[in-house]
Amino acid sequence: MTVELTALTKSYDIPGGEEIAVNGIDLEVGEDEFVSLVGPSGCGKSTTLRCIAGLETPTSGEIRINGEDVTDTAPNKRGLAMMFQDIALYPHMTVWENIAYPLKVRGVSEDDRHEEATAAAEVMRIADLLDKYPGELSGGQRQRCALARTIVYDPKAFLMDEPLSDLDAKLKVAVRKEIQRVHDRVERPTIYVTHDQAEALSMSDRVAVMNDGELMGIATPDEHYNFPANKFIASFIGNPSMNFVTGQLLSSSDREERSSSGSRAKPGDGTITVEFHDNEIELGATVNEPRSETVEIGFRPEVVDLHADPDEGYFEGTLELIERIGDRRLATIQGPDGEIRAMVPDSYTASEGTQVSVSFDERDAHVFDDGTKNVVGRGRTEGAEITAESSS
Amino acid sequence: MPAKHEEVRRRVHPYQESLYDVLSKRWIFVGLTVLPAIGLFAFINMLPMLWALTASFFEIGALSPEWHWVGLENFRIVLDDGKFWASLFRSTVFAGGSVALQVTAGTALALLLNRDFKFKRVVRAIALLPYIVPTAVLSFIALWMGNSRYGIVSQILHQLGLIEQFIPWYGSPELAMFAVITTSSWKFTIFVTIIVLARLQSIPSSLYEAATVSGASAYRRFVDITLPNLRGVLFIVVLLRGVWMFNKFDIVYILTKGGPLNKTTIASIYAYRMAFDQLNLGRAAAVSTLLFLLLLGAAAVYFYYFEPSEEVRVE
Repeated sequence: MTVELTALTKSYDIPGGEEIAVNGIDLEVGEDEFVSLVGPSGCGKSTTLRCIAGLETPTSGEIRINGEDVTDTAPNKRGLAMMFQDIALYPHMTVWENIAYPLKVRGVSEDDRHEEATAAAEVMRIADLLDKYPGELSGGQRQRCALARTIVYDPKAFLMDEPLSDLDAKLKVAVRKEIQRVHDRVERPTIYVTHDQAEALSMSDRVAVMNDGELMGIATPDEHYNFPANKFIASFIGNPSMNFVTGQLLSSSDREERSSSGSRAKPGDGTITVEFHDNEIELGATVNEPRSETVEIGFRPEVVDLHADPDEGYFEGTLELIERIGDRRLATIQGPDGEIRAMVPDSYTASEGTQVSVSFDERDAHVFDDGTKNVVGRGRTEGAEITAESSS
Repeated sequence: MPAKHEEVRRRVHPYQESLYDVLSKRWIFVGLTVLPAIGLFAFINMLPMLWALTASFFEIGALSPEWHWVGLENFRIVLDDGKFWASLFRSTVFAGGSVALQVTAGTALALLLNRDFKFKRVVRAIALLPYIVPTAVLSFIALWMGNSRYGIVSQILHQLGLIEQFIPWYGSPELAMFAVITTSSWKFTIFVTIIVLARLQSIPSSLYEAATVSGASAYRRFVDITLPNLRGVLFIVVLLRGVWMFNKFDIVYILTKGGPLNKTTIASIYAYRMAFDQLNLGRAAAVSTLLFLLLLGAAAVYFYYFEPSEEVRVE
């Protein structure tokens, strides 16, 4: 089973024009693949999902489920399962009636319904709650009940619209596991919408990053983290987020010498040289050709080193804040181009207010064109991965 | 802070201070706020009720100030009167028909207004009009519309080819009850609409969306989500409208005066005639008392069988 979107566009008429919520999205979700749609609020991810469900009618474009065009099919004829942000359990039905509802509309007899609902409830470990009403359940139990309702029949695909956003952090992790367990069990394409990148990165086979109605890129979580295709993905994926400094493009290899492997850079390919704050670094060239003289150099807080000696770093800044994040500390430095974040070891002792010098491993640097925002250069070549924080 | 408080206290006028002290006394404050309401209620509602209850045990001529104790004689005479039972039956028909029509049409209108369409606000305003217009005005408009010679209702039906000749809606013994029920429903349907619409709008749309994606058709969504959510509010609406329509007097009296051939003489008109045509106030009071007891009993049974607290389940 697959879900396929071709040039999906949704616009709304607003006073004085129209607002484009989703702008020409192409997306293919393969058999038993888990794909997240992630992006800031208002980026069109929920609208995209609702178009797939049929709750919104796309302005143009095509939706195919199992190769069959369902763009004009009524939502109740698409055979999908969906989870909602507010769970949407029917308050006037008991847990088992809720779970069995999709079977009821399919005309399954009451005995069979009860049996199937009990089986689904057992999978979700809520079999002892079958006769309760949703109002009597805790948040996590309601989520389980809603999940059981989606697995009680055999949907062609699962759609999830921020189902965890109302849960507290601990419960989130628990229900996250349940959702993955369900996904592994049913082997159906799952499309999961969230604004929480940690959720997307930890659960998905692939992550589609959206911004302003556009698909910024779709790739595996590791790919997004280590080889971001553009500045938006670089800054959106990863927490704490990537640092950027402004630089100048000094030289770049010709088109023929540029990498042929997309947004990665291969050893032996062409190079790109950039300058920032009187430092010059040479990196591998990606497939994108630089269009403007100005570039932005990005590097993750995990690869930043802080030095007391001004000569050891690329540039200087004032240490403004040190806060504990797990077993390490996050230092915030006010640099010449704004804020720089650095993960430093627990043993780091410099006090707030002191001048520090900032350096980073240039092999972990990314260069983005200031005009197109696409990645034009990369320190790290194919295969290597950042070890500071794995994104699993 | 307390010092500042003292400062404020010292600056206020001595009268203000004593007023503040007086109002701070719990019972004085309760008395000032609640007593006027209780007083009005007692004067306007309780007193006439007690008066009628007492009067039902006396023989009272409207023109003489003397009351003669007759015990249960008034009740015996009324209960023996076939006209009373006939009027009671007509009240039941009128109330039942009106409630059925108003609840059906009102709910349908609410479902319509709950959807998005052009001119929704205009439709809502038009639907509200009959409820705002005073009963007397509406009744006279209805009389004109139903007039047997130039009424617009007959006019339209005639031009549509549905009727051969003009119909005296309020003057025909066969149609008068139907016409009166329709007219009262025209006025009061919007009451049902307002209450049902409020409930409809509080049903989260995600419930419908979840059901839709699960495969439920529009009909199934209505039966499985809309109706169960409306049960509680329909319970109240049927009760209120039932009681009010059973006691209705003004609209029917203006439209038909109980005629033709007493076909629309409902119990309230029967009581009115007893009091002001036959000038027998005691017996009229007995009729009112009987109606009151009847409604009380019906409401109790209604509550017992439908258990409203069980009907409404809200998260």
